Amino acid sequence: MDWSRQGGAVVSPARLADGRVAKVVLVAGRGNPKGAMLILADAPTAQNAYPVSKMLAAMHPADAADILCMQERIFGVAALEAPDL
Amino acid sequence: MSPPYANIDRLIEDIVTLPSLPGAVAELNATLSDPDCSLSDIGEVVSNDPAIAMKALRLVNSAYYGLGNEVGSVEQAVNLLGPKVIKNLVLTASVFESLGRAAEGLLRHSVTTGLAMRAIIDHRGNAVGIDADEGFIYGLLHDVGIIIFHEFLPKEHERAIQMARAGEKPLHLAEIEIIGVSHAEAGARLATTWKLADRLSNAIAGHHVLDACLDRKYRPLAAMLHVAEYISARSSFEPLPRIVTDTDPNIWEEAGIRSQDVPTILGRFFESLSDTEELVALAA
Repeated sequence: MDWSRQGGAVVSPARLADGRVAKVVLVAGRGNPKGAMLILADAPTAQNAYPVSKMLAAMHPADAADILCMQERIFGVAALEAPDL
Repeated sequence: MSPPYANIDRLIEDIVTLPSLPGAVAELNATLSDPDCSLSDIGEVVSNDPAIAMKALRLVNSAYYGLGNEVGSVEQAVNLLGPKVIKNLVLTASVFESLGRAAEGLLRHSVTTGLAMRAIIDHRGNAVGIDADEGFIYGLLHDVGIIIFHEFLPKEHERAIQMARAGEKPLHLAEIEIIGVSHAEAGARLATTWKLADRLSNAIAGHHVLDACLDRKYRPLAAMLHVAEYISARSSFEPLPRIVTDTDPNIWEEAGIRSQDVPTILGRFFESLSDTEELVALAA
């Protein structure tokens, strides 16, 4: 995934298993159900946000791992090295 | 230009002297294969190698084992934990003894890959035929081939690292181009030389390329080791450039890990990371 900072959030484009393009937005740690959100264009003019935890079945497991690891590095308690974004 | 070593046999014949299996492990394996062996026989074998015995005691008293009460002697450890756990413990202590030559970043990567592998095995249960402590050893040893290259082929390996750093190809492919053999193959050969389980040497051999498993039945273990290394690297423990490549869906499927499994596995992994520094110190 291709992570970058946008204000207080960390974002990356993502591709779901069915080919749909989405955007992942990280704003808080794993303890917050809305700490990692998936922004998906459900219609040409409508975007909806879903918690990543509710969309896992639609994602590739490597992307799911990448998202959770990045979330832990930015907002987590495991004291991982922060990425250089 | 073709690489200097056409295969692993040529490499070992020409330049590499693989470290021998620590005596305590060989002796313990022999003792455990005797149906009449007693717990005191096992304790005696471990105590005969003071360096391994000391590391084993430090390990058994670490947060990783989380026993609560301090274990003061090898005999006490053997009585408390039983032969199977002791065998894993001694092998782990021996691996730590061997890994002491590794750069700290690689050591931390190996320990965290071991912790990730333990979390994966914990999640998969008995489906794969190894327990979580064995899984930790798989992670500890998966990149031992890099230590061999650092020691015997430092210039060639540095060129492979530079090639990977420049983005030309992943490290294991750069090694094949420059040395003729990947660190996965070299590590698998060490495991075979040490007479460790076939499934372990197969998993090490195939942790970048599943087809490198000589026995197809071990592909799921190799896939799990690949995933464990991926998790370690994505969590900031990537000591060398492109040591971990992107994974394709087949590897995760082969490992039996679905997206829905990932939060549980990573939750266990993140919680276990507090053990990392204590385990890294064991190798020093």
